[in-house]
Amino acid sequence: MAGLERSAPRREPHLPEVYRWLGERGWLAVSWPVEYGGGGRSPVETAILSEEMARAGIPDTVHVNTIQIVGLFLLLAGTEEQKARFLPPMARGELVVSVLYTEPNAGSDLGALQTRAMFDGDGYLLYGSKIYSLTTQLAQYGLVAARTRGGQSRYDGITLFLAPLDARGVDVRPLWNITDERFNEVVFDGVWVDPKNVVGDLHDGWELINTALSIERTGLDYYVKMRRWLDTLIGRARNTGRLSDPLVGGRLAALDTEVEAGRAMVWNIISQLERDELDNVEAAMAKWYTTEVGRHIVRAAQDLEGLEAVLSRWDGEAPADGLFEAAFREAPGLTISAGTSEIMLYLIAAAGLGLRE
Amino acid sequence: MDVRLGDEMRLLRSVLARFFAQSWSPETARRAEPPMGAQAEAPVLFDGELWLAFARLGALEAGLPVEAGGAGLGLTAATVVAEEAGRALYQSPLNETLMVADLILSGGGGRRFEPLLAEIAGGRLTATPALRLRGDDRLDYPEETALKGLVEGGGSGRLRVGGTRRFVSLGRVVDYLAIAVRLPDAGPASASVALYLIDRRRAGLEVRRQDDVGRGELASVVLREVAVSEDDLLVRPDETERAYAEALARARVRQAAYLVGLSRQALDLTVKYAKEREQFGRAIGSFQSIAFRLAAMAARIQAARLLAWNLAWRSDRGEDIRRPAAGLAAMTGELAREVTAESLQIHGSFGLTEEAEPQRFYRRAAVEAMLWGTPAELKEEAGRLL
Repeated sequence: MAGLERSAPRREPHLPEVYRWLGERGWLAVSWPVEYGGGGRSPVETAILSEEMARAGIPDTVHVNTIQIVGLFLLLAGTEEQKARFLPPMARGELVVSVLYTEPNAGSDLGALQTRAMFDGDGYLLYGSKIYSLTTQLAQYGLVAARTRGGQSRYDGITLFLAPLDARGVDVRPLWNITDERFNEVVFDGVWVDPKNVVGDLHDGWELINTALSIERTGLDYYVKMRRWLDTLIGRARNTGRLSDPLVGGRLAALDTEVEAGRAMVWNIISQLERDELDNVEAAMAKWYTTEVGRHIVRAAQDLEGLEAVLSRWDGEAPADGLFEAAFREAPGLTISAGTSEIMLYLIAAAGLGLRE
Repeated sequence: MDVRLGDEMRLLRSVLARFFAQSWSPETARRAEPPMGAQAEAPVLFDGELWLAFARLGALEAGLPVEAGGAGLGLTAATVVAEEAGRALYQSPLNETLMVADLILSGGGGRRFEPLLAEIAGGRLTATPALRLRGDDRLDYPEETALKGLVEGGGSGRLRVGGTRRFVSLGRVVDYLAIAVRLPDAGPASASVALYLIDRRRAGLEVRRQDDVGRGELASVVLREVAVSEDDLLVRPDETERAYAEALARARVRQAAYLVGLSRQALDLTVKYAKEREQFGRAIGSFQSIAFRLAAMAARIQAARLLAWNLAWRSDRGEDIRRPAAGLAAMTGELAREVTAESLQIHGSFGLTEEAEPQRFYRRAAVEAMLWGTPAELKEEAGRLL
């Protein structure tokens, strides 16, 4: 299945057949209630399956966005009708939804978002643009954060919508970047959204976004990625004999310890979810910790492999089929997306340590 | 210790800065980059005319000695040139060619190539060392990684050389390749390797592009029974260790200057962005968590920059700079990788897009940081010389 076709430059790594195959078996939404197409399993069991899928190298961005973020959102705040309409096809792998929060002027500062939704008597008209979203080109719906009124504060008056992406007035354009997954720029020019597709309370989306964001941050997918990168590097060091150099062994052992500690943090969050007592500060710590180790692994790969590590999978002679080169392109985005490292540190400092300006 | 630049150097720097500002805009530079995943046979996008214009401004001439047709401004001038090239993220055979020029001038047996120096000074002739097989091959001991030479029959005194050299910088662009060859019947291992300078188009040579994250010009060169003779001798075996070590140290100082320039530009871009980009109602650069990181990088870059000038000056005075040059190359290699990674972090997702500058600096830094030895190898080497 791998092969050059799949890995061609600008070819999205998502595997639609595999995704639907998993959906048919009920392996996408294992933690959801059975009545919505889920498996009724616990967060721990869900995490075990996610870990195995990631370890097998199955691209997970569609899964993370559709099931783990939007699906969870609907479970938290959706109406009965919304859950019945959207969740089962999502669980079957037939419906893909992307997350559309970020705007050109609202990145870390989501409260600065400017997309507007205007009530026109029987529905909402969306105007605005969303940027840097992943998998939107594959999605039928987008979870959009938009302003429905000017509030007392910038965090008031934000509402969430499930907006159809095949509707008139939606323009989805690629924003090519150095990673293997394309960014999208989505422009809404008066797109009509049914009031039935408002998720959660009108004007009151801010808190919902934050609740969902922290649940998004178990860090499991990050940990598995780090494990795969580092295991590949250690395996290469063993095979080439470099591991017998104590400086190399020591450095890899230190990284291995960090990855293992990251795993412990991640599973701590998962068990908190299981008990329904999530600690937001610990979730921020897990996200920060597991993603920051990425750049150190990438650096170690370059130091150990030398210039071999800069060869891409398209070169044909790259070690580990170009994994180190791909990791070098992927690592910077991990400490930016889903909450930058700076925002994580701010949460830890402010909410965890009580350090506020 | 005087590390101020004289008037000539400042003039050289401003001339080059103007040249790049006019002729090498980010848009032009991006057009000269192949797309991600380009093939081994992808066309060479190196602009020969631009290179000649660069040379006409004295880019190579400045550092070459007067007797070689140069301006005699020494390694200091070459570091000024390299730093400006780094700021512009201009990939060219500047450093590679100057290293070969240093080998010609080393008195190691390459006198026959002296007429080439005027051509080198004018940019009309370029060369690059082709010394590695693997990406982690050490560069400091050519005898460890030298190609094997076999004596050709009939007492012709000629050799046949076979093997593969990879990660040859600008390998598809240059006119000449410098190779290290282990002689078949030489004496002790330490003096059995000679350096030869051969035409890239010589029979038996096959050059193909390597696809690297920097989207630059790295090449893999396959040599099949390539004929090499006395006429190609660049450095005699008994001179290799000394001449090569000196030339490598000087190349590392120039590379360090290139990386300083690259880092400075990445920092400048980021400082500018941090002043303009507003989040939470203020410029992100007004947050200390951003500002102090930028300030620390500025200080580290300045430290490396001053050390590069200092080493250039010491080398021009005849001092042995092998150890500090390896140490500085390691330091700037790490600095460039860290500064460009921080630049991406501070720019956020925008910095990762194809049309953004920060990702280009990040990708190029990875390659440039290792071209003259990986930081790990360089530190080890400097440690051995302590």
